[in-house]
Amino acid sequence: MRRLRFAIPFSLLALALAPSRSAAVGPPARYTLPNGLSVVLDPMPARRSVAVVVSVEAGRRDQPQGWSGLAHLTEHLLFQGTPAAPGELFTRLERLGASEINAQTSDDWTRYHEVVPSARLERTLWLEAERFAHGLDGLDARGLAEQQRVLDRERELRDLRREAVWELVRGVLYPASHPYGRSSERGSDVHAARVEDVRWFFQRHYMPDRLTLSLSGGFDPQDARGWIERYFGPLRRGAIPAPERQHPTPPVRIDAERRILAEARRADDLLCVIWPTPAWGAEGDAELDFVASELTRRLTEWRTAADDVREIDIVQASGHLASTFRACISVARRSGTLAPLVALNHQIDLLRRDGIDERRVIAWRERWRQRELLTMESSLTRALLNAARPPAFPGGLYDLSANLARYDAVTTAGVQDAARRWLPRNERLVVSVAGRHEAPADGRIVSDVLVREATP
Amino acid sequence: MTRAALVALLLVACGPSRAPLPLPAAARSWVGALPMPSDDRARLAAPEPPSIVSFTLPSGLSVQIAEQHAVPVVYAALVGRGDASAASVELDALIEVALGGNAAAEELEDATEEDTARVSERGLVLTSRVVPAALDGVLARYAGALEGRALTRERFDHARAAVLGRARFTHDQRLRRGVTPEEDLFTLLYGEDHDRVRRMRMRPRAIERIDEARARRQLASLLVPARSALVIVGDVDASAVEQAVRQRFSSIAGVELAGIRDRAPPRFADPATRLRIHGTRDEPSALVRLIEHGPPIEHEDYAAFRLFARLAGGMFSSGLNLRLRETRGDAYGVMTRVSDRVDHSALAITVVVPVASASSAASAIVDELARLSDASRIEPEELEIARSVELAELAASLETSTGLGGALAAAFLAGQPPSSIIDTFSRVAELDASAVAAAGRRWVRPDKAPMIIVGDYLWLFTHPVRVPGGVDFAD
Repeated sequence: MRRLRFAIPFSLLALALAPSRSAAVGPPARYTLPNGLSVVLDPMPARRSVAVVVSVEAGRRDQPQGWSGLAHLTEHLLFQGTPAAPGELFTRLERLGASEINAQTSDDWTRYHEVVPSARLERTLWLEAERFAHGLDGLDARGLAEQQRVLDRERELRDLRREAVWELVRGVLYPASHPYGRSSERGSDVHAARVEDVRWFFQRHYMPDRLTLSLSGGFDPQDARGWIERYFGPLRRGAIPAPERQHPTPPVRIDAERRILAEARRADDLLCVIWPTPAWGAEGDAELDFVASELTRRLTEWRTAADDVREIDIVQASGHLASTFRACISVARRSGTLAPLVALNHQIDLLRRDGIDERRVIAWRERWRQRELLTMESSLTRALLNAARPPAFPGGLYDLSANLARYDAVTTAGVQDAARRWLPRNERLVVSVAGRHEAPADGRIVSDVLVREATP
Repeated sequence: MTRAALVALLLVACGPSRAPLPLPAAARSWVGALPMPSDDRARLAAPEPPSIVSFTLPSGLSVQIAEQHAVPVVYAALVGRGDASAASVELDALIEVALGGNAAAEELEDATEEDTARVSERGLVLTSRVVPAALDGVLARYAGALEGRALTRERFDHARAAVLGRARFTHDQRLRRGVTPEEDLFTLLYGEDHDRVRRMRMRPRAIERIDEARARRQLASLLVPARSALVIVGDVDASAVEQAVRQRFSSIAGVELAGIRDRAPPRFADPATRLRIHGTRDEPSALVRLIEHGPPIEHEDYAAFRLFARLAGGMFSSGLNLRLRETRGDAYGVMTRVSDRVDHSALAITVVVPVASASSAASAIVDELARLSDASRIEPEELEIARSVELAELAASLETSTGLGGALAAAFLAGQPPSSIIDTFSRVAELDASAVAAAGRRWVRPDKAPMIIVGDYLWLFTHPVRVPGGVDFAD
């Protein structure tokens, strides 16, 4: 009743506040240099800083068998300066007033980024072009060894987080022949790499036709085009042939419930249930986002009455070639993971049997639309998204409108169908991790059992 | 099979499962020298002062509205100045969960994941990021909060359960492991049994005793209209928002002001022993952390202190980061940050290193603080880089609705006028090495600032850590 009392004044207020004066978030300008390098320009006239992203279409999936860590190592080594710009690259960028300096290596891509004052854009573009033209010219064994040690430190930090569980079971889900089956980083592989190996990887993958340069923020597009042509135009592919482009693969099939018991040096016990699912932008991917949101909501209600639950994290983790749907529930150590598994099974069964209320689908659609629009405030996020090239998207390029259209098209039937089709009880990994002080930090699989009968 | 073939097969079987990679096509790049841009060392221009519509409603509620039209996003904050520390830490935590995003599953239509609630020593800040069409819903929620309608039974129950679960976990950890390293570190800074140290312990029983009425009273004390501000920044028409705010908030009654408890300025005595080691078993890594008090945000030294922190690990190019990460490969990175308290700030330097390097990392931190307290040892180049990073981050943060709105909310909470957010820029731009080193000498004690190391007991026992100010082991 209280809601009804406020209904009229609220709607009047909404009319008063709704008009928006912002330039609509329109599609950015895209073009390709003669050397094959893709450029995305997304000017935001009111801004006085620019996000600069260079994304390389090469990631952990491109590492040869037994050379895990090579993509990550290459990423680190490309901060070591060039003969024309000696010294650490981040020092030169910080001198220009850059923030958000970083790089990431994923399964599908490696990307480098910073946000710089608009007045320093030309020099930043030169530094980035230097990185991709001459970034390994000064590499020696000493510099390589330092970064191999830094990777060790980074891996140790990662071991303390939940991703360690994913790293532990990734090899169980994906066969070695799958591009994502070569992704887990092993210290012995990283330390086996020599300067020539890193150079080979760089020369094979870091070529202009595999690079996307993306700018978002306050800049003059004409000036930017001139600078990009001047500094990135001279890049060219060498004698090493280009690798084949990779395309989305059907989700791997697991023909049983695979129960993995593991232990790790953690302060909690952890349940992670993992299903292979369609790639980012493919049919079913958006629906699974809604399934993740709905399951999170339902289990959050259940959590209110469950004392031992620490955290619930359910996500459709979308990749360019394939995805996984992961439901992880953290509970107090020694609580065991049976109760969360039963609760999760129950909620998935309900979703598969009864579907989802229309009102909820509308709420999730609005939530996902808002989430996508709000990310557009950050020039860096915009530049990163614009640089993405998910093959399942129209034209193989990320596009905000196409992304919003995916969420607009989700229906109640679609959500139920996605739960039925992609989250079956007998085709998944059920990983139960016991927190034990004696266990290694990066975890250890204790048992791995195939169960052909579905869990009751 | 010949013997040689057998040996080769065995070697393959025992060796790594990786085939050698082809050689690179060239030892150096085949791309010729790129043209170079001219060097640009001009100082960054100060950001334009934002145009802010400010007014005060009859209840005393202060309102600040600024337009930013780059993207269809609006940031809104309801800020209440108050003495949060007068209540228990458990009550603060409960309010944060109850009023934050996804607080109650059944109230989805009213809350988004972009809603936050944060209780600090200065008061309460509720924030929301929404698309413009959703702003009226946010205003309705904030008006409800000022009128005491925010804490529904459902939200209260949900929040209490969530906080109780968290508290039971941390309490259990504490019973099994004793004083946490973090608590020990702050005890070294503030002294035994200090209020701020006690507030680091969540007690399940205290949460069980909190009832709805008490939570409502605490919330009301943090959202007294005359000590509160509504901040709205983003893709809105300021005059339309002003009209809407007046319509919705004008009927809210003013409340008689209770004074905020005067807090005695903290005394920072030198700890008897400055570094405590918390032993673990078989951990390959050790955590090294230093904490030190600094000037409060309104103090004239604050800008210089922030620059000092940049130099002491707060940027990639800092001497500490270069030494520990780039030269030694001992750390993924040094993390240095300055956090705000009501009567001082706190500088924290943290690094995770192999346990064999923990002692040298601790010494490197101490040496660096001493170096930066001497103006003659601060290189002009590193100061220029620190200033560039600080100024660029300040300027960039004011470009977004979230950044500008957050800065206005923080200024109000600290009792400062909106103009202070631009003043900081000019203060930083004018700082030289003498000012930075002087701030360091006034606030930082290289020989006494509290430190902890959490790492393998056997190694640290047999390889003594040596830093000035003394070292001992936690019980």
